[in-house]
Amino acid sequence: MTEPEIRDLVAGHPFTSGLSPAEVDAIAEGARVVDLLPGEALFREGRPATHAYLVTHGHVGIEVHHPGRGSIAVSTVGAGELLGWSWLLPPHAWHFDATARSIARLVALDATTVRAACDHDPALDRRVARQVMRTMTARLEAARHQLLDLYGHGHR
Amino acid sequence: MGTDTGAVVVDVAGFDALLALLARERRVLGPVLADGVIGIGEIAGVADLPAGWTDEQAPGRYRAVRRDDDALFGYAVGQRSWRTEVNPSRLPLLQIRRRRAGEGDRDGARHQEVLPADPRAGVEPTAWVGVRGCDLAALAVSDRVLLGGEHPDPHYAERRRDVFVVAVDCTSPASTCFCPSMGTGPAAAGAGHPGPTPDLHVHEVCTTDRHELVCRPGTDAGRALLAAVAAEARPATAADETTAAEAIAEAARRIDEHRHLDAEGLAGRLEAALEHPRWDDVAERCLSCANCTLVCPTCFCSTVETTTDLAGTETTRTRVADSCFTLDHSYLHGGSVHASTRSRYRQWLTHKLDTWWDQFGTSGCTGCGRCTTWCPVGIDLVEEATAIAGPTAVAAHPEGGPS
Amino acid sequence: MAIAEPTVAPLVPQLLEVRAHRRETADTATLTLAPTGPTALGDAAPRPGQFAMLAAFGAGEVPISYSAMAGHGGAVEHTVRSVGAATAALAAARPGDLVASRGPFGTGWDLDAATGRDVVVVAGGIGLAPLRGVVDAVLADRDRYGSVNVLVGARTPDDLCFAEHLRGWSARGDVEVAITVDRLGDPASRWPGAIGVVTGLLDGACFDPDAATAFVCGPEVMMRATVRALGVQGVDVADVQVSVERSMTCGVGHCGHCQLGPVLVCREGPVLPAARVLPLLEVRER
Repeated sequence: MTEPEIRDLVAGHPFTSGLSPAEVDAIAEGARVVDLLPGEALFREGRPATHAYLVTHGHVGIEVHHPGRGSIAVSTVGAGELLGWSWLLPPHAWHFDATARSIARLVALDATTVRAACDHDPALDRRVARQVMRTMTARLEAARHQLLDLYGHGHR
Repeated sequence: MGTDTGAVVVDVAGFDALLALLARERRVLGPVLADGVIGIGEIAGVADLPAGWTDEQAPGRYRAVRRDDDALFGYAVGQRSWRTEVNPSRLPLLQIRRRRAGEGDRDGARHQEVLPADPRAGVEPTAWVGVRGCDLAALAVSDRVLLGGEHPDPHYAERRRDVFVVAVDCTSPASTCFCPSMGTGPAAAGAGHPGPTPDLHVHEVCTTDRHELVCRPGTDAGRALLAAVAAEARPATAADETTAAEAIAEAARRIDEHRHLDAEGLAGRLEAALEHPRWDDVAERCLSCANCTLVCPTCFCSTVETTTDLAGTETTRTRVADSCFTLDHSYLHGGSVHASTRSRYRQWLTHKLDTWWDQFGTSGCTGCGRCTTWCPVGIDLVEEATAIAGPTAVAAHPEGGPS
Repeated sequence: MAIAEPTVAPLVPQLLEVRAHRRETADTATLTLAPTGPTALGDAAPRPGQFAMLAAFGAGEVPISYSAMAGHGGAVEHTVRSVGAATAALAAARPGDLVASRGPFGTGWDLDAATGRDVVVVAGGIGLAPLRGVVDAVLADRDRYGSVNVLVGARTPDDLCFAEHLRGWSARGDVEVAITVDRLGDPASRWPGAIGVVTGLLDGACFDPDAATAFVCGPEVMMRATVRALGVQGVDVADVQVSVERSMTCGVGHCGHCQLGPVLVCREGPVLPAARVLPLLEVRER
């Protein structure tokens, strides 16, 4: 896939909505496409978080490995969503595993590039931080609802 | 000089004759003193009425006491209302029977029949004597609830169909009464009264020199009954009507001075006060005992009991009165919606004064005061509603309401 | 007062024969019920979203929505989750048994409101049961609507109802079906799909928020979150219908049990405009 094609994928992803073309260019520099087969690992807990992933197709499971129980998927991240935010804050290491659960395509933004662009431009920094926060709040609300076990016994 | 309304005046003996005539054709129910309370029971004539008795009522207090005259209707309402006559507290609805059949039939599950209870069963022509304005208004409310919708209740309809109503003005109201606030009394009928037109509308005059009853017919049946006692009656005069009107006005003034509920815009004001701290306050006092809902003349909630005989061949569904003060009332699997006493009291009060308008186009409260008298801890509906909703209109109810 | 002759009909059940029993999940079953005689349902044919009061012999009545409308011979389907004595007795009914049924009662989904528009069906748990009739009706008249999205949330893959129907709809190609589960349950589950809450599926659904009508049923927390999430997508709350649950006992507005503030759910609902019902649900213990 050519650089302009990748740039278009980034520009078309909901994560960059509200960013100017110049800002998209700034964070998309050096981005590459990652294609995964079902079951293929994207990253592992403890490894350096070198990329921010924008899912454009399929879905990827966020997993925890538990001795004796194997990998337990706790949620999935699908098309249109940001996968991972450990690249944003030190120590820039993943806290979970990520494994494709279907054929999946992601754009991998280079974390160093994105952080540098944000450090250079406070307005971009704010917009990126807000988009990450939007993802985090949605993921947190979902986690709380999952925790409620709404469809379990003792619930309507 | 007579009036043109067909009204007549009878003395106590004449009224007794009138009741005797009624009792020939109908089961006659009226006020009777029993167990220290003026309730409702079968009567054959004036002798069965609690003549010379009255009641002293206050929040959480009721005493039947002697009067210093022989008035037949010199009291307010007791804990019984007419509600159970038309909407019994226990009512068999139907049976489902199954019989054991042949091989392969699991407990006869495939051979069943439904036997509905006949709504006419046990229903006979009835007369209600001594119905007050608040209770006649309550009958109109019940008519709306149980007959007004898409599915009229057949059991209520049959009990309601052939009732001869002798309504009696209230001139000895209790301290818990607030019918003028709700527009339901103390006159038992007449222009602007929300209740159905009674067959007879009676006003008792009992003074040192006079004990008579002014009887105005409201229906052909009422006119026929008055015609039958014509020999013992004289036509009512304008002076009789003036005396009655003055007594009503005086009673209304006394009640309203003592206890007034600002019903104007009340529904909207309550709707705006669903989180008022007073709900917590009243919940501290309320025992959630359901007494108010048992004595209320308009409360209609019911549930269905399903019982099966020991042989497992016959199952019976019985409709039984229910109360929004029970946890079961709002039970969904997992728990009750109205888990706290606060929410149950709020459900009750807002239903009566607020959401009843949305559901049935009328108030669910007629100002009879029973809930207040019979509350074991004396919670006063007027006091609570006023504390919560405030005394003045601040918002209009979106669906209309008393205005 | 002149009183018309009311009928005992709404209070008296019809005995329906269990024609089929389909186990959906460990605690949920779908019963196919049909009249034993040549009874025509006529005007009483249920519409999607309506409910019946059902009882197994000797057990109490419970409100259960129709999960499939009258088909051949007037057969209907009800999907029952066993959560108490009455529902357990129903879920245990077997072909040939009789079930007492009163209804249909209540309002149905307003499908006319979706004519010419995109359809978004959002179901949580057993909430898919009253919505199945919506999908069936929309697919039976597919040209009348724009895009159709069916978004389903379940507790675990094993708790998914109507799995076959979901596969069937998916296979048609003219309706998008997306399913998510709260958790895998069995760690060895081979569930290939999404894990998360049903609102998360809205991001991946293709519809025009300005011209979409949404039909939502599930636990109240899920419905509140869904209406909020639809709003974030740009769907006007006026274009959202929800089905609420209260303890319907009589079905005809006479018993008082199903009150939700001003609403008698059995009469005005259970399907209600979200704009009407959400403010009521937001008052605690109303």
